[in-house]
Amino acid sequence: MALGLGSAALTTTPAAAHAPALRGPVPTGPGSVSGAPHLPPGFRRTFTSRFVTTGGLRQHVVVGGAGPPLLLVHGWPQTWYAWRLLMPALARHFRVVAVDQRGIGLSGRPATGYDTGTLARDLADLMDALGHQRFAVAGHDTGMPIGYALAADHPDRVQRLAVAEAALPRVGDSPAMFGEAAANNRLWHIPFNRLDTLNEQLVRGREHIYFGWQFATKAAKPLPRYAVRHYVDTLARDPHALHGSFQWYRALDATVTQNEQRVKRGRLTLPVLAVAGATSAGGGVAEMMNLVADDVRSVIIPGTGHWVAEESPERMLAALAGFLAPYRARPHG
Amino acid sequence: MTFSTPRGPGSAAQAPDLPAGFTDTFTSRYVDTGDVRLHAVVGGDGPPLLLVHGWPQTWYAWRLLMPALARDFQVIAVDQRGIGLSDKPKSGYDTGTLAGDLIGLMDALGHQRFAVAGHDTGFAISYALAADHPDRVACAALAEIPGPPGVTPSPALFVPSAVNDRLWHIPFNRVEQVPEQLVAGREDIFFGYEFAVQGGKLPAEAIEYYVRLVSDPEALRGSLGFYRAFDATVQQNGQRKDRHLSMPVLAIGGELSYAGHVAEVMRLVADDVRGVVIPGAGHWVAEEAPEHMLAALTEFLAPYRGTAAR
Repeated sequence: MALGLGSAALTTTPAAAHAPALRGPVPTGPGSVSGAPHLPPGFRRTFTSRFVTTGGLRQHVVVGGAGPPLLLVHGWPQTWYAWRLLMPALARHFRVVAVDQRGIGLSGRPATGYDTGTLARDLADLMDALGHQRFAVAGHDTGMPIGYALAADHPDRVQRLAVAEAALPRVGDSPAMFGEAAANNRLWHIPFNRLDTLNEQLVRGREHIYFGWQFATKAAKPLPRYAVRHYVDTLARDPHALHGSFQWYRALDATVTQNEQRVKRGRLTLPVLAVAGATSAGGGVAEMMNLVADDVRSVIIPGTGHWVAEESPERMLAALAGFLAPYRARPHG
Repeated sequence: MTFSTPRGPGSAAQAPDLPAGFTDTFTSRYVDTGDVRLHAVVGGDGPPLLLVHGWPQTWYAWRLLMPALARDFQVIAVDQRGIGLSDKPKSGYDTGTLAGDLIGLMDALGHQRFAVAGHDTGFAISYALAADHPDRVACAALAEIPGPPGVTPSPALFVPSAVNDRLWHIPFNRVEQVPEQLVAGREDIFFGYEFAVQGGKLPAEAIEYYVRLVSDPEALRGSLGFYRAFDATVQQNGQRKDRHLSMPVLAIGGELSYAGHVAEVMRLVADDVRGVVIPGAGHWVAEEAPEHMLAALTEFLAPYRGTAAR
């Protein structure tokens, strides 16, 4: 219970009271809260974009709400915006921190550091800077292996971990490079995204084709056109954005090695929620997490594809709210 | 059966940089099998030898071996369905159907039994040919893939990146439409990468020629047909592998590419396998090391040459 530094802040409700880092520069324009399209009503009253610089990396976060801290880590090829439909409700009970991963959105794009160990450290540093010693994490898609790394590498920091819709690279039985066509359609972006430069050469100027296909084929309920356009525009607008979006995949050799070490080091003991879309990862997420964690509960959202937080926000919210209820009640764990 | 004279850059008459005297020996032909019209470059004298190229190539991949082989064999270098000057129907790219095309071709040319050499995707097709039509194939020389798809377990999705660089085109090519949409107008980048990454080196002129042939919407789609039929081919191979090949098999690997692994895998599905590793060569064995390839093929084919009825 006694956490010392920061513990008082965790229970303090007014957001501004414990957020010295929020005095930093306020991002504007596309990619920021002020520039994002079709946000839920009142979103901008609760949430603000901030830049937080840690260890030379500028991270963009969208922060708001009051309560124990909850870090939201988006997946590929998205940004913090993937969580927008959940954020207002979550902000009633939590201090919500929705980050753009290193390399993505408005966050900085260093040449290196895209293995999940480094990405998890980015987030630990971010939460330090925001004054949050201990926190809950939700990670979707690439945010799931990052969330795993955060919980495994910084067990004293993470109280609860919700993960959705991904595999942990090279944990358990790896999927096949040459699976059946349906599996191939779900996974071919991984070998493609890992390439050094050819992927950028083929996708540049055709972002709507490549990313549009990803959004269209992996949804059970199509995402709104404005959202797909926002994600694609984010990747097409800036010549370096495409590069940054592939970097997670280019660091997979390092992530795989780290995961082997994480598995050897031991299992996660914190509570884990494994979320999947029924027409996408299904039971695979919980199966995966059961390989590395002792306390896993599974929620499979019916009629939903890969984009769980946008296709079925109410059900996703219910799953998260149920899972986080004990954390909300006793934020110090 | 109809023969007519193929023209255009994909034909023997208009292919660049052929060995001296090539067109004295070889001519391009169209052969209608009933299902498809195939293009084959045919010449030489002796028992029949069918050559099946790989991806993303055409009959032209065999050009440096063909004059020497034609002294002892009737050489038939075919363009696969979907590729080069052959027809490019929407379907029929599983190796069972592609092997059936080649049976139709050899029937039309009057060859009951023949030897076959296959490279890359042509390896998988030639394996299907030998497995599905064992009475037709006297012997099979198979080069530069680690066995037919599905005969051994798939590599893992998260292979080391150096391996990923050489395998990613398979998951990519299998996807419908997106590859054409991303590659169209950028064929030089996409195929240039493939020619560079598979180990070994081809002359720039040869690469430019292959890229030119595939830089056409129908040719691009046709070249991907094999990959779109991957599930059917894997399923067929699941059945084929239990009936071991009994004819002699030569398993060829480039030293810088699949090397001895080719023979290792073929020994799982064939009883009479000899392996050869072509020193200093990458994936493009017939073009990088034609003398070594010719020596390996000549030695392997010598018994066939001696006993085959004309």
